[in-house]
Amino acid sequence: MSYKLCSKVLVRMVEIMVLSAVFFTAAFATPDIRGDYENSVNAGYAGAYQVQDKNKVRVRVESGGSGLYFKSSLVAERWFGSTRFALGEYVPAFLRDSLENTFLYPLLGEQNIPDTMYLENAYLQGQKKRTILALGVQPVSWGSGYAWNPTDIWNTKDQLDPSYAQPGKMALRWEQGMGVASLTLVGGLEQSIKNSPVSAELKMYLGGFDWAITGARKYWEGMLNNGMLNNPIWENLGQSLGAGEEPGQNEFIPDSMTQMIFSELELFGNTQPVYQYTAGFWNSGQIAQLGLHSEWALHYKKTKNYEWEQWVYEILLGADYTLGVGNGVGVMAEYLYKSNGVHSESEYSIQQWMAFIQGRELAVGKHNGFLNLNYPHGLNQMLLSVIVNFSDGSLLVNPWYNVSITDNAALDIMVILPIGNENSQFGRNQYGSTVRFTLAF
Amino acid sequence: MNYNGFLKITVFAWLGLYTTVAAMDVQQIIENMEAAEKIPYSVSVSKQTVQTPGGNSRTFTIKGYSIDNGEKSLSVYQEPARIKGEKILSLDDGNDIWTFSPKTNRVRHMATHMKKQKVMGSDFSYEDMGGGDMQKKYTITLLQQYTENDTAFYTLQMIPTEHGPSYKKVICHTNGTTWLVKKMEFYDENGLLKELVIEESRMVQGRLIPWKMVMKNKQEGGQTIVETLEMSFDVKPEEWMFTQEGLKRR
Repeated sequence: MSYKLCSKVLVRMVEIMVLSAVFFTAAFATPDIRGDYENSVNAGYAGAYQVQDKNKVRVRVESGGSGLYFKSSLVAERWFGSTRFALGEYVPAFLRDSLENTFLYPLLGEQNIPDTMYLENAYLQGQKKRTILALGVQPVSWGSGYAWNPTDIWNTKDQLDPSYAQPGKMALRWEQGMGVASLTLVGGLEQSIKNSPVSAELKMYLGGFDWAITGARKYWEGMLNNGMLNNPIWENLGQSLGAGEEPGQNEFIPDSMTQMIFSELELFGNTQPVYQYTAGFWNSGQIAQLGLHSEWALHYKKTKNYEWEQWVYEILLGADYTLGVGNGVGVMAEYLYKSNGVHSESEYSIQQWMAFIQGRELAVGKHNGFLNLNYPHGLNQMLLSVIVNFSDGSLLVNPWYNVSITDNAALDIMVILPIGNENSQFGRNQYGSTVRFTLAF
Repeated sequence: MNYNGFLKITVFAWLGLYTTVAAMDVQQIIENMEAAEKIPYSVSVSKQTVQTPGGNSRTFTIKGYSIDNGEKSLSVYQEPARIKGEKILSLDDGNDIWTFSPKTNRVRHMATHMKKQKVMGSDFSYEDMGGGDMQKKYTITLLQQYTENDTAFYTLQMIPTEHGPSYKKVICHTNGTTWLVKKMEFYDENGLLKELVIEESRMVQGRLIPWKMVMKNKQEGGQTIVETLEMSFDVKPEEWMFTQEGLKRR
């Protein structure tokens, strides 16, 4: 039996074990069933008005005792309104023409944002004192940053809502606490064990600061450099993306949808398998009542036989403070330096955008910033977020008002205001607003 | 917020020994109060009702655990469904506060400046959960001794030190017979900010404890009512529950 087949069999066995354990646990304990309903109305303008309505229901089921239990959440999404979009509107005409009569052409035509149902989480967790062992599709949180986490190989954060729950990852997680230290090991379970992501973290609490060193490895496939882009289509597309000839981008198309499409397009551009190794460090604490955190990562990426390799480092510096105004205004600011980011919009390339859209890169600019102001007012909150790409001089301003309606109902009203020229990262975004109603049950 | 949190909010909740008012000085009062404050461990359930100036109301049910004479405490929100499973861990008498969100499975360490912020929109702030060495956190003077309905009371003025909370001063009225706090007043730069009144006390397993209290916001209006539903000193919560790994337990 080949190694690959062995891996697949092993992964399947693990999945069966998880499901068996889940049902076994559920059978002997009363499940706790709850969830929430979200209705988001998105309105935007990019040459034409668009209105979408997303209905999202999440049902959570938990069962078991404190020592052994399982948690799961099932999500269903239905979209209404302006749910049709054409990727062809996002790329220049010459590309559409050149792809005609290829298997990729249908991807450029009109598509629906699909209604979906997926298992967001389903995992079994055993815990004995400070030892945790969890297996299944589970949330994996990593690093100290709020808007960006350079040491995190697992999640892709949306800077417009960084604290929004991330979908679970199929993984085995072991956490072990030891005095003021703790060790965390996470191994992902992909179809091939050899290509599954793994990460480790050793954390200590010393002198009022959390200190952690981390290491990780992951595998991905993507376009690498211009030398590998034999097809002139990609060079032209890269220049065009940099030149900003396409219309404004719709913020509300789900990341999973654009990632899938761009992934397929990327295949056309000659992809290579890449192994990425990450060594990192993060800390979090305070000096003189000023909250401080930082996250440092050094990434080494290479193809299997070293035809291509790249070193990238990323540094995140953050600070937070509560101003003594009214009930207190929480202020958080972060700065992200990315060694392989560009200095200006004229340097943008298709590879960068592909990697960024698919979540493999945190940002496209070399210098990036994030500012968040939070003012609680009674049971409500006013927030203002600003995401900045200092390298191309563009930013997104995102005022947000959260209203608590009842114990279990809330209303969020947010606006997206892009600022920057048409060639910049955020200048191409559309103006938009979202009204989100959430009801927990 | 658990029982020990409330106990520490009241700071000088009760004292077990009776001494005549005239014989008391500040040092004796503090020593007696701190001695009486020490409850080895507890498990409680409480209901917190936040009433806004606009007439809105939110109700939370919180399960609380504490050990080491209240130096370590853990609050677990049970209701409403929207925040079920959110946890607040207070270590080192409130000097180290950690929060846990079940949605993200993430533990966060709270910086000192965040302790001024309200807890879940209530009129209590995170720093109200802190206890510890009162003479380290405050410079305390005895303002007044008086008698009301044949009961002796002390009025203490507490000025926070650099190790204390962010209030400008706190005035505490303590019952000299039961040694329960009758009322506490919290001042900021603009004057009286909040007022905590103990409305009801009950005897639980031989101890008299504050059972119902109201924190009134005197500047914005609104108030938060905290009522204990269950209290037990029987079973000691395990030490590991008060760790970051413990926060991730169901």
